[in-house]
Amino acid sequence: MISPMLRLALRSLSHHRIRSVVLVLCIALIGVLPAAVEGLLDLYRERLEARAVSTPLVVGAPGSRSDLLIHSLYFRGEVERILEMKVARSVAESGYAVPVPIHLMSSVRDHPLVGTTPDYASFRQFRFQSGRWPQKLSEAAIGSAVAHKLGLAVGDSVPTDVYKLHDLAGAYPLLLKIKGVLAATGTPDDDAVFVSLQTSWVVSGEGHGHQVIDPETDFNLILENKSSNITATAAVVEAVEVTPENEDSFHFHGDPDVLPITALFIDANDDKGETIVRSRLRRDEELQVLDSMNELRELLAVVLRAKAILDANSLLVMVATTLLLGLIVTLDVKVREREVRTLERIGAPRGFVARLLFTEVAIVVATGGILAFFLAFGAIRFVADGPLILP
Amino acid sequence: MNTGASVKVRDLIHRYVGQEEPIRVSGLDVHSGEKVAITGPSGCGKTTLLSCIAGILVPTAGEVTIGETRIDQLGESDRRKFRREEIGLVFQEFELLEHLDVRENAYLPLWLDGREPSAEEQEKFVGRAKRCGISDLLQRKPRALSQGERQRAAVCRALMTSPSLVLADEPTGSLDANSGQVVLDLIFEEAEITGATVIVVTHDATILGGFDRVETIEEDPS
Repeated sequence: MISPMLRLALRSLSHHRIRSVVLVLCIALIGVLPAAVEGLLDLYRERLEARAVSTPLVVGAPGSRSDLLIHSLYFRGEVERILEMKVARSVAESGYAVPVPIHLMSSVRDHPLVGTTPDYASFRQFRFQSGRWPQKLSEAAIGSAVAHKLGLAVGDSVPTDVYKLHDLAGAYPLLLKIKGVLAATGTPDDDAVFVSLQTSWVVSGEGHGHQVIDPETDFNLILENKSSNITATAAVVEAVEVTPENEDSFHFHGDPDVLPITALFIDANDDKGETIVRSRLRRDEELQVLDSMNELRELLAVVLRAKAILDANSLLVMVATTLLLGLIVTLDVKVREREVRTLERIGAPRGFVARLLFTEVAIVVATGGILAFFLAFGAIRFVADGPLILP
Repeated sequence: MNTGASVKVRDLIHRYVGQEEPIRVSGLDVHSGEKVAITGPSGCGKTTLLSCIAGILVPTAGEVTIGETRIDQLGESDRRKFRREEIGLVFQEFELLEHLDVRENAYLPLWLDGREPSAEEQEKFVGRAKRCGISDLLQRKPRALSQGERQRAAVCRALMTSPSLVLADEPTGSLDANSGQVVLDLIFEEAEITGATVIVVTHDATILGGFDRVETIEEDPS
C-alpha cells in the first residue's frame, strides 16, 4: 500500500504536472547523454575489437596506420597509397597463408564497393540469405543492410556511383547484377557491396570494355595504327554494362602484377605461418604490416581521451543541474508557503515538509533517471540491431 | 463519544518580534463541551490567543492548559502531536490543499500522523460529509468548490481525528451570512456528536446567538 508521504508527494507532482514533466525531461536529457555514450562506446569497442580479432594481420602501403585500419576493416575513408597485386601473389606463393586482397575505390549509392576474391567470403565465414558469391564480371553480392535500405534482391541490377565525373579518360558507372544477398553479420560487411577484383578494377578505370574497332571502317576512331597496336580516340563508346555480346571485349592493360589493391588481409594457416609471413612482409620497406588489435587499441585510447572530456562536461552539466534543481526547490518552498504553513498549523511533525519535498525531488530524479536509462537503452538497442557502421 | 477538553488561560502575554506592546489576556476558562465565542476589536489579540491555545504560538508568559496538559510547556514536537490528535482547527481562509480533493484534504491530519484512516474513521467521515452536504463533492479539488463548500470541507478535516477541542478563527469571515450560519451550525452539530469543546474567534455579532457564552477581549489600555 502506498505510504501517505508518497501519496502526498505524487498528488503534488501531478497537480504541478507541467513543472514536474519539464524537470523529469531535463534530468532525463542530462542523464541520457553520458549513459548512451558509455553504452554505445562499449558496444562499438566490443564490435570493433571483434572485427580486429577476426582480421589479425593487415598489409598496406606506407602511410597513416589508422587510415589503413579503418579503410580495410570498416570500409571507411581512403588510403594514401596503394599496393600492387604482386604482394598478394608473393604471400600466396609462400604457402603459409591465403592472401585476401581488398580493392575499395568506389561505391554503390554511397555503400562501399569492395573488390575482393572468393577467399574473402570464406575468411569472413559468410552465409547467404539468397543467391551466391559473384563469379563473373559485373556480378555482385550485397550485404543485408544494403538489400534492406535499397530494396534490392537477387536478379536486380544497380549502377555503381560516378566518382570521377570530370575525368574524361576515367571510369564510367558499371551496371552490377546482384547474384547474392548475404546474411546479416552485424559488421561493416552488411553495408557493403562485394564484387570480384576484376569488376572493381573496371569500375575504377583499370580495365574496360568498348566497341570493337574495325581498322577498315572505323578510321575516324583511330589515332594511331601500328601493326601491334591500335590507339583509339575518346569517341570510342565504352561499355557500361557487361553483356554476353561485349563480355569478351573487357580487358586490362599492362602487367597483372601491378594492378592495384588498397589492402591485403593475411589468412595464415597457423601461428607459425603468420609469424613467418609477418616477418617477411615487414622486411619490405614499401609495405606496412598492421597488428589490427594493437592498432585498434591505440585508436580507441584516443577516443577514450576525448570521452574523458565529454565525461567532465557531463559532470559539470550535472552539477549545474543539481544547483538549478536546488534553486527550483527553494523557490518552490516560497511558492508553496501557504501549503507549508497549513501543514504546520494542522500539526505536521517536525521535518515532515522537508521530507515531503525530498520525496518529491527523489521521485522526479528517479523518474528522470529511469527515463534516461530507457532512452539510452533504446538508442543502444537501435544501434546494436544494425550493422557496425562508422560515421 | 469523546469528552470535550476544558481550556484554562492565565495571565497570557505574547510579544511578537519587533512589537513594542505585547498581547495580554488575563484569563479565560472554557468548560468541557462548552461552545464559547471570543470577540473583541481588531488587534486585541483574539487570533493570538487562539494560536496560543492551539500551540501554534508559545506565549512569552502565562499558562495555557487544555484538559490536564500545559501546552505552553510542551516542546515543539509534542505540541504538534497534541494539536494533530486533540485539536481540530478551522481557518477563515479554509486552508485546504489545492492539489488534494475533498476526501484527501479531510484525511490529511491522519496522513500527517503517517497512517491511513481506519474503516470506522472512513465511515464516520462519510456520515459527516453527508451531514455537511458535500458527500457528492468528495472527488473535487477545492478550486471546483464554492466558498461555503470549501469551509464545510475544512470543518470535515478539523473533525477527522474526533478532537476534544475545536478551534475556529473567523470561520464565517469569508462567507455570506447564510453560508456562515450553515457552517457554524455544522460545527456545533458535529461538536455535539463528538462532545468536543468549541472556541470560535469572531467579530461577527450576528452569529453569537448559538454560543453558550461570549467572551470579549478588551484592547489593552496600555
